[in-house]
Amino acid sequence: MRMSRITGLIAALAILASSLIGVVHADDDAPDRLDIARQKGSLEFIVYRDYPPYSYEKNGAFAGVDVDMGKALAAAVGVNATFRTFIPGDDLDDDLRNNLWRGTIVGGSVGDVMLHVGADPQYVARQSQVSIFGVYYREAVALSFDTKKFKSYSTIGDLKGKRVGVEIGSISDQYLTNFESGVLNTSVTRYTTLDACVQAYTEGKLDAVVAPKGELQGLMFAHGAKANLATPQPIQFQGIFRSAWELGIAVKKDSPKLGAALADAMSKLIESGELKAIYARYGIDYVTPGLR
Amino acid sequence: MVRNSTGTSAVRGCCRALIGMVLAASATAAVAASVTDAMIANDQNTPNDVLTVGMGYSGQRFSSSTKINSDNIDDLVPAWSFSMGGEKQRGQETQALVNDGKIFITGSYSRIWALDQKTGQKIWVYEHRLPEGIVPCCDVVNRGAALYDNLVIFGTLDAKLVALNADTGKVVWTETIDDFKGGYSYTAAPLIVKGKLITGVSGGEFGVVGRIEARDAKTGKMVWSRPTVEGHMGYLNGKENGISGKLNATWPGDLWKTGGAATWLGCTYGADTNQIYCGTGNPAPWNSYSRPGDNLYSTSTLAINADTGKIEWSYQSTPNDSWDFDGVNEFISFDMKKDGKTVKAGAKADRNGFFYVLNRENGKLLSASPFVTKQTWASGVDLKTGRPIESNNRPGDPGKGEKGSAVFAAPAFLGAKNWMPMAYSGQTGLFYVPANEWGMDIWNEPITYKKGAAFLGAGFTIKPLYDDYIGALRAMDPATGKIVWEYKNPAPLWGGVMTTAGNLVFTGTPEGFLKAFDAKTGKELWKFQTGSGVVGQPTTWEMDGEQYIGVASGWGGAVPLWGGEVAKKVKDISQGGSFWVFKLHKSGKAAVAQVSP
Repeated sequence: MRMSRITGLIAALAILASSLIGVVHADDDAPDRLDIARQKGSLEFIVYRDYPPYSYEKNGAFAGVDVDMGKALAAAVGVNATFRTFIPGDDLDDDLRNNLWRGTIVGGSVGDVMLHVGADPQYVARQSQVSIFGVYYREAVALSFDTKKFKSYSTIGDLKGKRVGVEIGSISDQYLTNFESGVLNTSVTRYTTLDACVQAYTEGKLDAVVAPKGELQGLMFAHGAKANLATPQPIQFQGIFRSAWELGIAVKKDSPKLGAALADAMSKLIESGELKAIYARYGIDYVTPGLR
Repeated sequence: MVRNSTGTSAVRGCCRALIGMVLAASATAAVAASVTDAMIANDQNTPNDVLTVGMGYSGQRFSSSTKINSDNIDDLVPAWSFSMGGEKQRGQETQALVNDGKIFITGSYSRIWALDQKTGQKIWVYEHRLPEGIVPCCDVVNRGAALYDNLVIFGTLDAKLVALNADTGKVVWTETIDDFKGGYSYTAAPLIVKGKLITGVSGGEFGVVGRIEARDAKTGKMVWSRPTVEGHMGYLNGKENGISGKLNATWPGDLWKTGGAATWLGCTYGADTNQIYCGTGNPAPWNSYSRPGDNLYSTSTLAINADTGKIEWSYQSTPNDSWDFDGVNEFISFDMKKDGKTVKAGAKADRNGFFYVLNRENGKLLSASPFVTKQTWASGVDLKTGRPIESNNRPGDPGKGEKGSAVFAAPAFLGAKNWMPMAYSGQTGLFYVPANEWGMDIWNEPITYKKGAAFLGAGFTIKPLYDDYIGALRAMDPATGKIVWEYKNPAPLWGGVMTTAGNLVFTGTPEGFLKAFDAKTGKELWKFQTGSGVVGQPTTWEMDGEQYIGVASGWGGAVPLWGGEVAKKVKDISQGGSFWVFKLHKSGKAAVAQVSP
């Protein structure tokens, strides 16, 4: 039984939260995770597994934007960064529960900090167990097209008859598949990962790709995309499909000092330009949150 | 990664302990009574053993034993109890198997035990090492094992099949069903048919395609595989064996490649038709508007030829599913007497609230009757076409900007009946269906994220339909579609049902009781508090002239993972993990009388 479409967990989480009140009280006496981290000398960051260009393994070590960002944040707080990767759940609620505040039901422990967390104000407001803050990047859905395959692009309708790569189950897949009652159904080509999609794109098997801009730009950079593959440009989805969103940091609510320290560290990374430099290292143009 | 070193040492510790037990066990082990195909085929008629989950090929969960019956059940008392122990509790959904002096039970977290049938003492335990990072969607349950030759075989949460020596618990073979990193797992009981081990797959939504596989039970070697989504190639002995259905007949574009229809609850077998009957889950992606068409063979019952691995017929209960109405439920073969004739029939109580009776030889629909009080999604089923008569109850089309105020739909996504198997008594001619009365608000939820990016989700909250009960054990007459009796339970029912020739029906409740009912009238005759919620499958056997009843206790499964109003009914239930065995009390021992002063 796959509880597949799971935003409904919101309701479940509220109940779980209320049944966990006892635990939360017990945590009142527990030391803030910042103090524990300073004692241990390290903070554990939770990052998505196999998620280039943000977090992935390379030559036995972790690499990627989120990994470099974690190291920089930890340094600012005066500790080392350690990393743990995880397989994403059905949605972010699952990820926060499994990695930050409860752990998985198969005996998993929780980590200290999660990066790459969606930070829509409504979403932030409905969290009872974690704080989401330190908004640092604005992601937007973008399109790159092969200039050899079509000369110009102005509307999504122009994708009719083209081979358009998307990651399966992504918002891009959802939107294009739904577009005008399915006129792009035979155009959309779905890949299990965006990495595989961009690989196919650079091999000339696709005419265009629709994906989050930073992720797409970073993967095209990593796969050595030639100049005929246009720089991704943001596109607008209509209706209830969001085409841009902010990313931030999450920690469990029991550690306000850790949250404050990381928020402070993040604004310094942004102000100093270090964050921009980290993104640039992976071929991504940094986008300040809030700028459209 | 970071934890590898501790993980490795844990394995060593575990294996050392296991080796110790193995040695102790083999010293006392008698010559194994190997399980044969003939024994399995006759399982329903041999009260001294229980060789199959479902108590026979057809999964009727009916025992011919009458030693415990509706006249003497007042004297049913515990014989012994076994603790599954440790810190690992959660849902215990197993059914015991009994053979050769041993009882085999599986437990949460992919564990399995062999117990001494007389004393309840542990003979061996196998605790599967689960990899780090595994995220099973719906609790850490296991629904039982299979016996064949001198093997006991079960599936694990990391999607492996493990065959153990029944005497020693030593691993004979292991096979990987699929990559747990892709969201696959395995919780169902495997089925043995003519030397083949029949299994399905459990898995998350994306990238998963359901399939049924047949392996050589003795070696684990693949014999055939049959995908449950049209367009995919089946295989027999390593060679192509024709695609399932017809490419793109009921799916647009390339969505069939990842069409879902997971087969997470396993199969039953019709010996007279040589067909394996398997239910399939809902289609992917969740938004039904993005996959116009029936989306075969999602939410269906499939009849697959046991030898060739080809689909002989299919029946789809919820075409183009929009409510998460998995069609995985067990299809139970039975001979239906109606209008003076006997029909080779099969029945299935679907998540969608209809009790379907089909001709099991050709899949033709004979009747479809509601077994719950409310079905908002369809007003009935057209007996000519076999299709539901939908009542405009789909959530809004997100492609049309319909964020949608919530739509109320019943049954809820957890189903009018979930995984818990019903039972059929040839004696009363009734099916005993563990049902739940709940609905859900369902809407398109734009403010959520998946895998680090914005995502359009489906939001829903589950709601009981009545104040005083959610669960309802209902006796259905398959010939008329009428409910003959019902028992109402405050919390949702989540355990299996068994019926016996002693005019009894057994099932467990989340409140912790194993209960027995009069099979004809539904009168509650007996109950016993096991200390934790019962979501296991009761079974029965005879030994030394006495009849025994066994059931696992241990609250869990999908219900406690969900919230809303339902959570209030179950939030105070204690976790547990034990296997209880009952027999009739025998008084009159002189020694007992002399003890009192």
